[in-house]
Amino acid sequence: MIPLLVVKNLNKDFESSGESFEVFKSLNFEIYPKTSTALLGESGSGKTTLIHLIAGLESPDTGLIKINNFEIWKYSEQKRADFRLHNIAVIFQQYNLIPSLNILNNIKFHSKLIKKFDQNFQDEIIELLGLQGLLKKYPEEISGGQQQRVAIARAILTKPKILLADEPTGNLDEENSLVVSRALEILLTRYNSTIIIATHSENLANRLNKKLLIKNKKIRAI
Amino acid sequence: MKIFDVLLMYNFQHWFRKPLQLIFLFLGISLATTLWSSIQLLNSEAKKSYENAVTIISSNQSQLIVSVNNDLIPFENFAKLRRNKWLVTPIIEGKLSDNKKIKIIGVDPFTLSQSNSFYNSFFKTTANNREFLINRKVAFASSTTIKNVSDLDLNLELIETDNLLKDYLLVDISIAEELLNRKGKISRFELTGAIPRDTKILDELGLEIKNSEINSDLKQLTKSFHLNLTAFGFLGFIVGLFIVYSTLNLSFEQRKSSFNSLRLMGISVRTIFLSSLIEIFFLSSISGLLGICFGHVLASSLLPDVASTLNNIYGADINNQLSFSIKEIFIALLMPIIGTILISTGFLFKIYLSERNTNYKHISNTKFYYLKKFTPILVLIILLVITVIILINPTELFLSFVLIAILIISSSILLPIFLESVLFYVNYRFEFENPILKWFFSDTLKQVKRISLSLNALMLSIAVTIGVDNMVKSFEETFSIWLDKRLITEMYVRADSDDLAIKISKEIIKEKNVINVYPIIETKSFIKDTKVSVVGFKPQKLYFDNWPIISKSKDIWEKIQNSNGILINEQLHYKLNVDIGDNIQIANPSNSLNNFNSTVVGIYPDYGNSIPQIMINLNKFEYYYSNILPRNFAIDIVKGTYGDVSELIQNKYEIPNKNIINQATIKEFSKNVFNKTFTVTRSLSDAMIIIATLTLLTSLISLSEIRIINLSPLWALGITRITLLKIEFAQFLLLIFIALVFAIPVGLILCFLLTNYLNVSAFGWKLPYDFYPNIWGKTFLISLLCSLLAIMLPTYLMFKNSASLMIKRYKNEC
Ligand SMILES: Nc1ncnc2c1ncn2[C@@H]1O[C@H](COP(=O)(O)OP(=O)(O)OP(=O)(O)O)[C@@H](O)[C@H]1O
Ligand SMILES: [Mg+2]
Repeated sequence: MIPLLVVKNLNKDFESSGESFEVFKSLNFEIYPKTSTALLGESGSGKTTLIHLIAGLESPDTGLIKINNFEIWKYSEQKRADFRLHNIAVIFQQYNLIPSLNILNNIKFHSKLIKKFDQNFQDEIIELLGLQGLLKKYPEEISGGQQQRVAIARAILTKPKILLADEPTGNLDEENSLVVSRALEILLTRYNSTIIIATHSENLANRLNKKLLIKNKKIRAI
Repeated sequence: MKIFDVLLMYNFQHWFRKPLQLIFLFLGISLATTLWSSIQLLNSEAKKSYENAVTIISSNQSQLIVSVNNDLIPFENFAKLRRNKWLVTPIIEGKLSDNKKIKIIGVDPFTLSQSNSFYNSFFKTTANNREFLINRKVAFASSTTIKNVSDLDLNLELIETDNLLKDYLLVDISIAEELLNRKGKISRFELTGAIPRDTKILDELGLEIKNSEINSDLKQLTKSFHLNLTAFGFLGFIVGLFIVYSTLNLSFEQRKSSFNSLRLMGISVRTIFLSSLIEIFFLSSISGLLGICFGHVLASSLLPDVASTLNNIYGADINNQLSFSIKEIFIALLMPIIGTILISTGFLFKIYLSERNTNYKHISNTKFYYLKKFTPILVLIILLVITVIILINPTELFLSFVLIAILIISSSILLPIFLESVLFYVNYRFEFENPILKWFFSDTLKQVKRISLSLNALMLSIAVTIGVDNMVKSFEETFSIWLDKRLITEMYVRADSDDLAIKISKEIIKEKNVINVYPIIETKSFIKDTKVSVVGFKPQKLYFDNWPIISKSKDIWEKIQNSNGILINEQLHYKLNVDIGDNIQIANPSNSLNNFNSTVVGIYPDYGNSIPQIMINLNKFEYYYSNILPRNFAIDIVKGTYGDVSELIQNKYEIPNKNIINQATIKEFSKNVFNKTFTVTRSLSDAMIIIATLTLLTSLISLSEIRIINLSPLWALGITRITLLKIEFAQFLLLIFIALVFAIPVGLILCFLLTNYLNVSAFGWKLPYDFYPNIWGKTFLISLLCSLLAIMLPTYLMFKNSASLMIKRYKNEC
């Protein structure tokens, strides 16, 4: 089988106040299609950074990231953005909703944009995640956990090739976390997506196919 | 260190971390202060000059005796008046031929001592008066004047005094005669006692009594000019404060979470509040001081224009140099400090209220929601009611300004409502399928709140410019047509003596190329208690065809010719509230039992005149005011023969060249005066556009820091930055375009208020209200261009920094 995601010799440093700080040192791993992977590691280990690198939001210093044979950092910003728009959905640690749109329009936004909107699927997800009562509100008017579920709904509705989720259950209670895993499962089974989730939650990680651990600037399977 | 000091340091640190914000804050406050203080400086300088002028010409209460024709008075008349028991003192005034700036005033210390005039009190308090009496070879002058005349060979001992205006030399009358080379000619007399009962001698000598109230007239007249300036300065100040507001808003917004953390740590709201207050006070004082310095520079550069306007129109003499005191600086400083504190009350209040702030601001604010939504509408209704009340009786100058203020306030309240309604309608009407379009319009709707202040600044300054320019243009055209009609003939001649006047009226008509002669005569009289000027003219065809008239009754000219019909000027019409068909009684000064009962048959425009005037048939004039002969003549000549006729009458009638005036000369002079009058107004309205553009620029740059947060989610999804840049640009453009469109009707209403109310109450004339779409178009395009430039920089900056800023946001911020 051909891997969906290939990361090779990835190096990433941060410059902050004159000092350089190394996050990854020649990182290597592969992820296969239609799998779900948990990205583990202690706080500050680089989970968010890795997700940004894969999504094409943050650039690596050296190394290669290839998704579906598309070498994401080889192309122009325009191409990269376009690729992200159509193939990747990201659930950010900070939810990242659009403040001037109401919840319903936030949920629709991405899928409409790439013409993958599906009314029935939307209704199903909204109901599953329990967002019915919030549709007319604006992001600033709902709680953190609610915002998080809206962001998840938005990402799932795009039926992405690859879904990157950064702590999707970080703000959720046990019951809601379960609901979220169910929604992700639908994506995995019905739409053949590949899922990568950065998480601290053992429970969530245990429900996924594989686990990767970031430690000492390296990554390894556990 | 105490908590308070730490907090204060923390507050100031914010400004060092955000130098751009600090620059904008300084820019805003100092710009606002510059405009305001420069106008204040100009006004106070003018006021000082008027006050000095009052004391220079005479003391407050005294009366003057001047020549009827404004000529110099032969010295013999002094003796004649004294012999007839008139208590007068002679004064000679004139400009030095060597240095035209220096004005000489010659007084007679002996007769002067009986008066209560300025000079007398001056001598009473000056130790040197003995020397003045005995030595006579002395001159009093201010220190600057002494410097200015040091290179002239005056052969006088100069004594310094603070009581004289710059460039005035006070000398004995005999010295003045020598200096001015004007032996035996007096400028005027000042009455030092009561007026004798018999005033016949004045007529014999061609003299008249004039009250020194001209000075209060001057103050009254120039009042509207200064009010105009003040209004402009104030508007500029407010617009400048808009910059301050948007900057402060941002800085408080950015520190809100820190304030919250501080509060949670246990620092009292009061402490945070106080430290913020001190911070604002400190920043506004420094930038205010800066603004006052700039204001001084600006005022110095505007002063010559202002001085010449006041001089040309009102004959007021203004110092050409600014002077101001520490006290004035302090007063000027109050304005930016109080202004800045006032505009930050909102933020300070929020800090104060934060004590009760719970989780979600929107939910906790629902109680205020309706209040907030309906306050503007309530304010608008109140303003409307006030407007209606004022419109019923709008003659007061102050009320005209209130009307304009109401227009400005209500249009700034309405603009955001208008923008929101338009966008809301678009949003509602077109259910956009395209998510980007949908986002575009809902986001633009939200954007209105964020930049409504700078949009208002822009809208107001464009409205003011359009209003003022439209009015000036209307006036300019009216004025030039009026001037053409009003100057009925090609040539105007003045006779210096009665003999010559008789000769001109009888004989000049026989000369070659002369078509007709129209005598004009003027005197002063009263209607009720109001002083009016009465002009006698011969009603003939030339007047029938040309004289500009605003409104008239039937058979206007027939009634003037054959019965007691009169014309009144617009000023009289408004001031005494008399209209066509009204009967008015004009006092006859020589026989109070024989007043002139007249009927108003026409009203004529009389731009540039400050006093009410009536025009009556020359017959009537001779009947009621027969003692005076016409000295001025309008002479109708064959076209193109001005040179010939002028030469002929100069030689034959011995009329000096200066007494023959060409129509073209008057026209040019008048148009010049006209243009000068509006120089200051125009440059101020141009300045407004610049300030508004700056406001827009600064607030957009400030905004872009917050704006990243709004745009980054879209970027993260995969919309490129260049697309976002285009969207952002289109958004600003759309909002600015609507605001500018909105400005046009506001400007036109403003113009209407200016022409129909402000001009009437300030000057006594109404202006025709014409439309000049090309002026609006020009202003519209210029401001659109300026705004385009103003939005380019912030959007570019945002674009350039966006990648790193956006990514940063995902990691650190919430
Ligand atoms: N812009 C930046 N400049 C400098 N250092 C950074 C920057 N962004 C992240 N880092 C550093 O890189 C490391 C990895 O950060 P990252 O946000 O990826 O951690 P994480 O694994 O997601 O942590 P958490 O579980 O707390 O979310 C951290 O040590 C962080 O301090
Ligand atoms: Mg993280």
